[in-house]
Amino acid sequence: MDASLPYWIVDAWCAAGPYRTRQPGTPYAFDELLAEHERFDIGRRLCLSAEARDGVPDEGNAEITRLTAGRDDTGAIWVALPPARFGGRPAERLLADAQAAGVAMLAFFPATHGHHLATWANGDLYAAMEEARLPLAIDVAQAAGGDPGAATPQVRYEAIHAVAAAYPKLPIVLWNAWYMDERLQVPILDACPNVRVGLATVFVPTFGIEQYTARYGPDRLIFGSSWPVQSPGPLLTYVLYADVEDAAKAAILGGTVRELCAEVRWPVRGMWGEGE
Amino acid sequence: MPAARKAGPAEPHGASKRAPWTPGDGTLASRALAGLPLDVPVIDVHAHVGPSMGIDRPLGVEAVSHLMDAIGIDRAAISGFMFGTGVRLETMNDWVAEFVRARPGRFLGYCYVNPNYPEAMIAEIDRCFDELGFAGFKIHVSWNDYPYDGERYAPLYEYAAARGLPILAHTWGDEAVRQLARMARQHPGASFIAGHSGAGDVSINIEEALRTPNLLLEITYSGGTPRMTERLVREVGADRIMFGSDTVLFAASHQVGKVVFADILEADKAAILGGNARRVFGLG
Repeated sequence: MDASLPYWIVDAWCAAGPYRTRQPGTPYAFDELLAEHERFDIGRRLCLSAEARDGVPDEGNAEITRLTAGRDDTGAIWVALPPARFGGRPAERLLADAQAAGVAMLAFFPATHGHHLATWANGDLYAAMEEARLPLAIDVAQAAGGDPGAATPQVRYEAIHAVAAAYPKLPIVLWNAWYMDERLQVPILDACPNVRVGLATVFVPTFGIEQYTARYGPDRLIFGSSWPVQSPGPLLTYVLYADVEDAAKAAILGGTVRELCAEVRWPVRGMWGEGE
Repeated sequence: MPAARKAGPAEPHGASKRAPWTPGDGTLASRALAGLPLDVPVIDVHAHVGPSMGIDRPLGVEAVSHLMDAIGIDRAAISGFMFGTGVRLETMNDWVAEFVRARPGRFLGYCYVNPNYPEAMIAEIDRCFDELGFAGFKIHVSWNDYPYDGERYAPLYEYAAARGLPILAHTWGDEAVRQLARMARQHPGASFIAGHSGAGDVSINIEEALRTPNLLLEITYSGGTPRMTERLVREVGADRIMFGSDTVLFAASHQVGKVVFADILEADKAAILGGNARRVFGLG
């Protein structure tokens, strides 16, 4: 083993900028994210704006685009709003803007931003994303909209399944799943190969990596930290201590998300350096 | 566009090396990053065994022991799932006893009692310690919907204080911490362990720990708030912080990262990971 970890690590779910529930004294700035990643030899990241997630998507997306511009180690996740609203951008224009910025994923937070996840409301956008192979990141806790604590988990996963089944080539990554969601996730992962689960926040079930890898192979789990809410360190040990092959760890830690980015219709920023 | 480019399975990216640890430097962090068992005594003071509603995971003695071996966890203090048959005291404690019997010394049993069945408490407490050889108590304020400073818990606290036993209590940075701390001050002979310290409003845990010498803070919960372990050590002291995992709900492999990667002394990490538990459980 040389001086760096023998894995090509991408933190596929982290945020930069002030956020709503910060505990005083904890980090949040983009530079602090980079420093934290250096502690763990995490060389690349997909990053969204906390302001886009918690407040005004257009403002936050512009900020994350500015922060990541010119970097070959950081890709942008935009927080999307549906086209079907007053003043909404048509799907084609939203994707053209995302392409121009080299965006890696669009993320939906339906509860925070007060919109539907349903296919009847967002069909044009899902179809365009499917055609572009642009992944859709969904905050599971928000999948049913409304108060994140109000909807039952079953309702959330019903909503996710409806999208995944209707657009089978639309890559979907679930974030912020619960540590006891396995009975809700297994039927969807069985039925929808386009659905993957992010390791972050509270999705750290004992034997989770082992059980999911044994059932689905190594490419259905994706490493992300939820920084700055959570440090990447504990998530790293969660993967590194797992009783799976090194190739599976490599896929979880970066290989799978890199492949997802490679499938996007346009060059995604931040996944490849010069000459790679 | 790098169309259809495939990521290699093990492609070092050559990031810069500002990490305060390097492979092979002997630190706990470097061992964890190499996926090696930790080489200090590690005691998980918050683990669960037995069947539970809602999950389908390997739950047997062998599976749990294998998991502990991989990380280097020498001992685990275990209770049944609060999510299981919480009113069936005997059943839950029998699951624990099965582990204690199978691996004496490796598993330390917590006696779980439900204060909503006060008529059964004393007999079950006697059974847990006289027959099953348990090492402490586990109590759960929200699962049983009964406050820690309620009078039905009095026999348990008195029993623990008379014998110097630890009591692990579920908390969440909330009023339950204050209830527990009040009971700790009234029963200085027992060690009270506030579970999930760092979740919720951690300032409550810190404030109560500072005024309650026999209140310890156990740090398992699903998140890993950056700098939380450092804050607890700085404000309360490493000798009052304890490693716990909530296995097999949360993963011990995840929870241990909050300690090994903290920006604190290696000696403090060792105290949190096991040294303090040795003292509290009287393991010499």
